[in-house]
Amino acid sequence: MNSNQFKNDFSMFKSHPELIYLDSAATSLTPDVVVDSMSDYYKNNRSSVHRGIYKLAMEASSKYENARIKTAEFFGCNDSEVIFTKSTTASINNVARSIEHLISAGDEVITTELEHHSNYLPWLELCNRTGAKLNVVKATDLKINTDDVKALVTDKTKLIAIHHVSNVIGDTVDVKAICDYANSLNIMTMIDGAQAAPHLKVGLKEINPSFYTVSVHKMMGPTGLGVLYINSNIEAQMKPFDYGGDMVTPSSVDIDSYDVKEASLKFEGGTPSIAEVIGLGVAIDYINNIGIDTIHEHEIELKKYAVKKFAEIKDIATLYNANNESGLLTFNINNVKVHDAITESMLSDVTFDNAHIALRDGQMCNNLTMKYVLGTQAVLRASVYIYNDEKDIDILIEQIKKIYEIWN
Amino acid sequence: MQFDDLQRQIIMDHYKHPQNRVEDAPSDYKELRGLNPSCGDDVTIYLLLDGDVVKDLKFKGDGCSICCASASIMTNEFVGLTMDEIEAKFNNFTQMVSGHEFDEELFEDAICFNSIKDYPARFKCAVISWDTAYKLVKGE
Repeated sequence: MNSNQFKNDFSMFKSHPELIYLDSAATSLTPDVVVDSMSDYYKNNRSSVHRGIYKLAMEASSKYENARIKTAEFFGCNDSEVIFTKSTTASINNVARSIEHLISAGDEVITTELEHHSNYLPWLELCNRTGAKLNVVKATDLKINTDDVKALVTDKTKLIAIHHVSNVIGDTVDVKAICDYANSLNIMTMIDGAQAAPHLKVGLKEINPSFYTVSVHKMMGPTGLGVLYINSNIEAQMKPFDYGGDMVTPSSVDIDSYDVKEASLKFEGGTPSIAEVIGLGVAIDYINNIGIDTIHEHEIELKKYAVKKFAEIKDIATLYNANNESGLLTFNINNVKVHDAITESMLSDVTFDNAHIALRDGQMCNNLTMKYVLGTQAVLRASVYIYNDEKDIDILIEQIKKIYEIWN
Repeated sequence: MQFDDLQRQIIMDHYKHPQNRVEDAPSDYKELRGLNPSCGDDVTIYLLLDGDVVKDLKFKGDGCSICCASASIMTNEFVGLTMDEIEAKFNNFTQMVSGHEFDEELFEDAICFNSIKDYPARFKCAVISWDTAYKLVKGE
C-alpha cells in the first residue's frame, strides 16, 4: 500500500514535510475533511441541537444525530446505545459512578495489570467507596489469557473491566469470549476499546459487552470527544451522569419531580460537543472509504516489517512486544534513557525529536505494566496508522542506531 | 577545551559516575521521593541533619542523564549548608535554569546547568532532585 496517498489528506504533513508521526496511539492525526466539516458547522451552521426548531437548528440536530447513526453502524450496535462523552476516561468514570448503587461491600470487580490508569483507577475508587474487592489478573508472556480472567470469577463478581487492545504492549484480548462468559453469569463487562476501535473491526452486537469505550481523537476524529456504548439491557438500571438540560423531558420538571429521557439522551446532559460529533461522523466516513480491515492489515504488515528490522539491531535495542498483534512497537535503546533519546540537551542533539520523529516515551499512563510486567522505569513507544509506511520504520531504525552510538 | 565542552564533560561525569548515590535507604536519614510523571524520572532523597545544618545527602533512583547528573551535583552543593543557605541556593538554581538573573558565586559544578534554560523540555529533569531535597529540608 502506498501510504503517501493518505499523507496528502493531512495538512500536518504539508506544514511538517519531514514529520515521521509514530504517536497515533497517543493521538492520531486528523484528515482535512474532518477539520473542514467542523469548520463548516462553525461558519455556516452554528446553532444548538435538540432545542430550537428553526431551520439552522434542525439542520445541526440532523447532522449530530446522523453522526450517531454512522457511529452505531460502524461499531455494529443500535444508535440508542451510543452516548457521546468528553473522553474514554470520562466514559469509564461516569459508568463507575452510574452503577455504584449496584455494587455492595463484599462484591468483587476484576481488572488486569495491563490496564491504562483510566480503566483501573475508577474501579479501585469504586471499590474503595463501596467496600467491594478489586481482583487484578496477571499477564503471562505479555498477554491476558481468558482462562486467567475466568479463574478469578466468583459468585461475588459484579463486573469485569478489561482492555480490547492494551495501550503499552498491544495485547489483544478475546473480548467476545470474556463477555460470553460474563453474560452467562450475569456479570457486567467494561471493555476499554481506546486502542482497538481505530484499528480493527469492532462488532458490538457480537461481542455483547455491557459497556465499550472509544477515544475519538485516536481514530482521526477531533479531540475532546469519547464514544460510550451502553448495552440496552443495562441502561434502565443506570443513573444519569449529569443532571440538567437536555437529559430530562422539559415539561416533566416540577418542584420535586422530573422524568429522565430514555436511552442515549439520558446520559448527555448539557449542550454536547456538536462540531466534534459532526467531525466524528466524517472521520468514520474517511475510515470506511479505506476500510477498517485494510487499515488493520496495513498495520500488521508494518509491525511485521518493524519486527524484522528490530531483529537486525537486537544488540542495541530491546523490542518488548514482537509477538503482540497490533501496531504498537514498545522498546528501549540499550543504555539510553528514554528522555535522552527523545529530546535534546547540552549533552546530545542526536534525538528522535531532532530527526522529526514523533513518538512517545515514559510510562504511558500505565505504571502497573511498567512495574509488574516489563520491569522497567519507562519505555519508548512507536505506533503506526494508515499514514505510516516502511520508510518511516527505516528512518526510526536508523535514528535508533545513531542515538545508541552517541550514548555508548 | 571550550567552556561549553567542559560543562558537558562535568555533567556527563556526574551521570556516568554519580556521587552520593545509594542502592538502599541509609538508616536514620529522612527521605522524600520525587517523580517526573512525563518521563519516569524517579529520585528519592535521603537527608541527615545536624541541628540546622545539612550533614549529609544521598539519593537513589533512576532517570535521564540530566536528572541523575543534577541529583549528584545537588548532593554536593547542599551538604554543609544551613536551611537558610539552602533556600537561597535552591531559589538561585531555579532562577538560573529558567533563564533569570541569579548569583553565580553560589555554585560550584551546578553552574554547568546554566545552559539548560535553552532546553525547556529538560527543566523538570534538572530541578526534580533539587526541589525534592528542598522540600525535605523544609520538612514539607
